[in-house]
Amino acid sequence: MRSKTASASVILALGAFAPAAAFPCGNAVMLKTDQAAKLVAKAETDLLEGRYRKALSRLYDGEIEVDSSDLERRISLVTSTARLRLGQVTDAAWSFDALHQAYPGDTIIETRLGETLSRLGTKVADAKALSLLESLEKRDLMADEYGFLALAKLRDKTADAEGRDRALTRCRTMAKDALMCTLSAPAKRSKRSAPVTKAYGDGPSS
Amino acid sequence: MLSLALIIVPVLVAAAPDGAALLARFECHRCHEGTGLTAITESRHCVRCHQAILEDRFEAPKEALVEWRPHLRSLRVVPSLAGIGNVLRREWVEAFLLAPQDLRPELPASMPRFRMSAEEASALARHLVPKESAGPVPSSAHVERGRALYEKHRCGDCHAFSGSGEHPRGDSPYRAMTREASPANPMALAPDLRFTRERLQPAVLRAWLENPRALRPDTLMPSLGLAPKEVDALASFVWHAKLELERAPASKPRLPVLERKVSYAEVEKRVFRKVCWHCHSSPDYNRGDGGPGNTGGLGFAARRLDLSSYEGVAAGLLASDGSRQSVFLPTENGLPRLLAVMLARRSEERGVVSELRGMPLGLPSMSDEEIQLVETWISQGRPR
Repeated sequence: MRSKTASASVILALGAFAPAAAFPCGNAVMLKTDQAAKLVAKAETDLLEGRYRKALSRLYDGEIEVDSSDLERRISLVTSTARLRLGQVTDAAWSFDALHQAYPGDTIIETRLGETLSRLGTKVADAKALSLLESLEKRDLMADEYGFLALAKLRDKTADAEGRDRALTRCRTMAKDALMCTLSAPAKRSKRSAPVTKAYGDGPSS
Repeated sequence: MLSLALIIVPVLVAAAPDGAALLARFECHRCHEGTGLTAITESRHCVRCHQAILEDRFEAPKEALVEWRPHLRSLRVVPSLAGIGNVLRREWVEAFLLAPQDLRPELPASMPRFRMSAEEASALARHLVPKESAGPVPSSAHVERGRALYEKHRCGDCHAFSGSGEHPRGDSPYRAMTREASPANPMALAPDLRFTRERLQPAVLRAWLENPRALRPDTLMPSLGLAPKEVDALASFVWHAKLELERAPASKPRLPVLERKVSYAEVEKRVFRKVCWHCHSSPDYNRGDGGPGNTGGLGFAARRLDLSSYEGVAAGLLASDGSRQSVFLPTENGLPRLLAVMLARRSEERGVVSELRGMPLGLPSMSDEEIQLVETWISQGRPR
């Protein structure tokens, strides 16, 4: 049952926001699982090294035959994270929300969902993001430096200077490039955020 | 009263663990032959898979095989379980299952410490050794004559006999063979004879020395063609030779944390990828099997600890209550769990077993430098 839910979510995550050319009809390249795993690993490296568009194109250039829910999850994580880093926050919010439902308790997904929600710019989303990220921090399960940066920004908004600095310190410790761990202006509210902000509240956060 | 017994007795019978089912649950057939279980595929069989890699039969790119082969020292050959019921003591098997010791000095791997209850170990031992032979222990009258025979027949070519004053023969052609990269050199299976008196049924040793294959058809122990008196003498030596107390190697202090920066990339390359991945990897790296420490196996529930990526390490493991738990949380001794399990393996090698299961499971412990690297990385805040 869970597998079906996971598959459905992946289809949603991959299909709903894929460019129209992503799955060229009649021109699909079916990759076997071993090859697909290698392709996903390459896309994950692209993601780590900041080549977000390249990561997306790798996964959308051919039709990947996936018979493993773990691989489905990894593909969704790459595509959703790439979109998030490219500023497609609303799209990312949808797919991380779906992933969160498909894989409850997955702390990597929770970290990314927290980061995504923190960038939606609504009070409800901020509150949900803060709750997710603080829980991860408390349990020492934050997946990456981006999670700590998002937490620092959320705490900055709520004037929790001590908590903000603690999160920034963790971000700087974890990050390859500590310069990324700086507070910048709050993210602008996404123009395409209507359906998601409906779910997470309409009021802009302070 | 009778009706109560009718209710209770079936419940008790149903609750008793079944030996064959336990063999399957702990997946003994992933390493051992002779379990009586249905054979599993080569990719799930640790030893056959390793042998396939060493023999160039494994489905992988040539360059990968060339890279893997020199590192592949463990689980190239493992003793068969066929016929062990004819020779081993049930009590010893039970104790060994609960706290395995290093029995075969030439094998880098030893039996893993399973998550097994005392009741399960007892049931499994009963299954493996259904009946023990009655009979006297060998006579102690011919120890010195037996020692001379031990040397004459070059038993030390294959066997260690620690504590007896007999040392493995450095010039043994067989022992040299075990160090070669040959896939399955059987000489590595020779046990340290120190443990014979605890392991073997007392009445069996004479019969074993006379004709080992009559007891275990697949044994590599040769028939030495001994006369009955020689058998008595050799059995006398093996059973009664005075053994010096085996002193456990002292616990070594850890190396101090490094002052230079240690990145995840370095720890991944030198530790996680080299050692931990086999049991804690993403299932996609190993044909759907994330290993016993991730997707489960060898009797372990799926703990979902994936050490194949930074995020995977950060995501920790699945605790018994279903929640995620960091591998960096301090254990009872204050050390982060990831480090504590590596040190626990060192303790296990010294015969000290704790609640914490040592890692890598059943393999030689990490080197001082590897542990230092992991400790430094954790102390620096786990930088990428």
